[in-house]
Amino acid sequence: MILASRNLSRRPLRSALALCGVAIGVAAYVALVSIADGFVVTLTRIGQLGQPDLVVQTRGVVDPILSAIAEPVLAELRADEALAEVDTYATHVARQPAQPFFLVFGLAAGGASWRSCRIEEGRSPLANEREVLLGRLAAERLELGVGGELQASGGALRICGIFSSSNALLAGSAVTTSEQHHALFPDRPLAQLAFLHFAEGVDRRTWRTRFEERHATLQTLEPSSFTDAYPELDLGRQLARAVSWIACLAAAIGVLNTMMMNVLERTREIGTLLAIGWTRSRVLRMILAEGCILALLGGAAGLLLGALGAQLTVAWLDWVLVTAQVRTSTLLEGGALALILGVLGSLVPALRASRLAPTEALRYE
Amino acid sequence: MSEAAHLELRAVAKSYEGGRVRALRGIDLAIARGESVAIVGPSGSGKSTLLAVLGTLERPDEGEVLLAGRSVWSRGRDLAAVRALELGFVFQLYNLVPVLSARENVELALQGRVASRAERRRRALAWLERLGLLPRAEARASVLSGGERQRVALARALVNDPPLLLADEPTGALDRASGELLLAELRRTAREHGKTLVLVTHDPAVAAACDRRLRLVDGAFVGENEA
Ligand SMILES: Nc1ncnc2c1ncn2[C@@H]1O[C@H](COP(=O)(O)OP(=O)(O)OP(=O)(O)O)[C@@H](O)[C@H]1O
Ligand SMILES: [Mg+2]
Repeated sequence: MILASRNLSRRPLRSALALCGVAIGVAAYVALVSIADGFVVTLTRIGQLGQPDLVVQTRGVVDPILSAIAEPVLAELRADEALAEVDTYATHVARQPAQPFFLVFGLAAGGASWRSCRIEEGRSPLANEREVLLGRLAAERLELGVGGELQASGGALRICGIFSSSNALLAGSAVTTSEQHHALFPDRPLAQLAFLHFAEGVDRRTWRTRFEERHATLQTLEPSSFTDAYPELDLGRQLARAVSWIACLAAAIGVLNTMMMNVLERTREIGTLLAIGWTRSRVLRMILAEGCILALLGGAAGLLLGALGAQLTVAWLDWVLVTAQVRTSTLLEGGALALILGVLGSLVPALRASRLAPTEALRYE
Repeated sequence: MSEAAHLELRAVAKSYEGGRVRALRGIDLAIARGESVAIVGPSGSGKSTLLAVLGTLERPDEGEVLLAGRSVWSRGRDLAAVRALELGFVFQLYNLVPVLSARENVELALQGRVASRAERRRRALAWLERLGLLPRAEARASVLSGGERQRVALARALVNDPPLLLADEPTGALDRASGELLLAELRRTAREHGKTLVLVTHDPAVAAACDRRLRLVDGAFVGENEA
């Protein structure tokens, strides 16, 4: 071990370059996966609007934005005695110069999610006006206040008030009532999702089964596992993995190159170790240890860099929908990845070293 | 013959490059326990090859190598253990690991043989002390003088206390004074511990001090004790 780490210090620049390669590979992995995970977290917040017990959406949609709850169904739900409240939401992407994914929500007036928005400045939107409330976070990011204007299809929207919300997604968006939202964006349904709040003493499982039997085109989701309904979200993760694997391949080649040069350069020395009685497996382990130390040091740097990079990227993009979620599991995977890179990169050089002839000790060029 | 020779070669031949370079041609040799033997001869005559064969580093194409009466290249023989415990090799250019200290270099020969770190350290320091290198024990090999390096290499060869010492021009890269000092150490240790010593040398004085001198020309012995 001492020998392995000492050997790496012989060619500090070469070791440092290989180390950087591993760091970049691991950092790419951690950063991209964290951003993909952050996206999932953002979507999870939709399911938590107004803290419902159950969410209803169109069965099998790829994104909540594609879901629609028909008005007769809404009417039926509102008439259901088992439900204390039926909240709804619709959303529209209104591209802003600095926020390509800026969302305008239409919430059921007076509903749980509407009530969770506390107006801090200005007033509620007036019916038949092109007016919206702007979340505090969005107001800060867009540098807009009461009386300011948002871009939207069909004309500008005037900001009539600023609200605060504990839901980060709402706080980073604009909000108006369902009816007004539908009037502003007629191609949007009144309700894309319904958020159900049960009355006390209702057997939720039975209710759920009965509801889904009646409405084959709809599905009910637990708010906590809301995003499980979107396996397509995994695509983000997969893509993040695919991209970082390319970086990691380059890193493995970097380690391979460094370790190969180390072995070739130390042919006589390795021959000497064999000549003084080292076993071939001990030589193999020494070179593997060198590669792994290199990769783990690089990996440690990469984890830091990746976690930091994810936050910096998100801060730099400054999009409300894009946040970074650095999970412990992602960091562990990053560490494992570094180790794999170390072993992969040093296996061939180690095998080569272990097969050298002890007579290499006698060769003097 | 009262007892098996310590080291014996029977009709050993070794060639390189598909037989075009015949480095050793039919060598017969028996070296008794405790004997000191000098191998001399012109450059390219096969001295290093012979020493490598004696030291189990090189496998001969033909013939047999016997160590204490047992064939070295027989199946199932742990060559790494033989190299570590049965013999010590001293190389012309020391072959130390430059990034390790003198002590750590000596300890390399104990890796995998002595489990305890403290014990490895103790043994390495004991040999460095015997060779007058204790003050330099923690110095990196790369900052030591040639003479010091070769004494570290000698300590490395001796630290497992092998009964046989092999040295390929151990003073070849040293100035006269350090060379003489090293040879004095080498012979003294060999004598004191009853070790068998085989060394390759160009120096007639060094050869003369050995029990036996063998002259190698073109891969074969041409005479004994006439160098
Ligand atoms: N690995 C090898 N591959 C090819 N030829 C070799 C190899 N090792 C030695 N030889 C050749 O075998 C012959 C004997 O070499 P050896 O090194 O044993 O000579 P030597 O007596 O030690 O010479 P020197 O005094 O110069 O060290 C030489 O012709 C050499 O070129
Ligand atoms: Mg030679």
